[in-house]
Amino acid sequence: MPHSTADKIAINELVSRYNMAMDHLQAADWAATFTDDGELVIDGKPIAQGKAALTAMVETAAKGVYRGRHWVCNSIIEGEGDTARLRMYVLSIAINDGIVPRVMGEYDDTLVRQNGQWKFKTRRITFCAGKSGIVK
Amino acid sequence: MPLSLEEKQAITELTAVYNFTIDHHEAVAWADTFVEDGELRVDGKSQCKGRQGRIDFVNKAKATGYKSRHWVCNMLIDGDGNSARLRMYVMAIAIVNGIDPYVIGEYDDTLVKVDGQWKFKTRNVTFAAGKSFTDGGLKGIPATPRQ
Repeated sequence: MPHSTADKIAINELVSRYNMAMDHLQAADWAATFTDDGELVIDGKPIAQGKAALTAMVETAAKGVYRGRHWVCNSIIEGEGDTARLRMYVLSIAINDGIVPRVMGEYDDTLVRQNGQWKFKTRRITFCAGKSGIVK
Repeated sequence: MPLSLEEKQAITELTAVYNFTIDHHEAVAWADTFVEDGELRVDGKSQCKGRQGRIDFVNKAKATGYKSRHWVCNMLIDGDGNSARLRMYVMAIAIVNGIDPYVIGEYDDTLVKVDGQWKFKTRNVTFAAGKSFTDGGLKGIPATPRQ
């Protein structure tokens, strides 16, 4: 069965939570937007998989100089039932000193619904300009 | 009862009207996105309250030569019945001459439904970088044509 509007809004709200948790360096909240075995892949390279590794990634970022805000648009959600594909643009803006666009890219994600809640199974981001402020 | 999808859409559209009207200096239309005693707060400080106060706020901004566009994303709407909480990111971009982001922040607002229409009761914005135009945020932005 195709996704309802309620499913699409829930997935877009998951994205908002992902961005707010990352930008405020709330590691556990950010990791909770993924499934237990969820994975982040950047430019085809696995960066972190599983709750512990995802949490550790943000905790490490929190110890560094990362201060940013994730801006997203062009959300396209496809699929049916309890799985979904999400594509969207992202612009990450550094706010350490002024407001400076740092990296731009596109997500192509796989999501699943578990116990009535949408979660990221895999977030795959491909950058088209700039460099990540979180991972090397 | 949780908010329906239609109510979330109405709140999203209210935000769009708020942004369009402030950016186009439509003082009355902007003031009317709030309830009568509605208030705008920036970094915990009241900027304007009450309908006339809000109209004056936009007219003063217009008089300073303020030209800007508000870009928002990461919307989260919670609530039930006739009250709601809206959280979202905002970036204000000066368009005096070129495209210059000058402030970035987050709203954490209270809304109420009055006579079937959602309105802002309080808009609370906290800035993470840059400064509001009311606090000198537009200083230093080129006002002459760029080469």
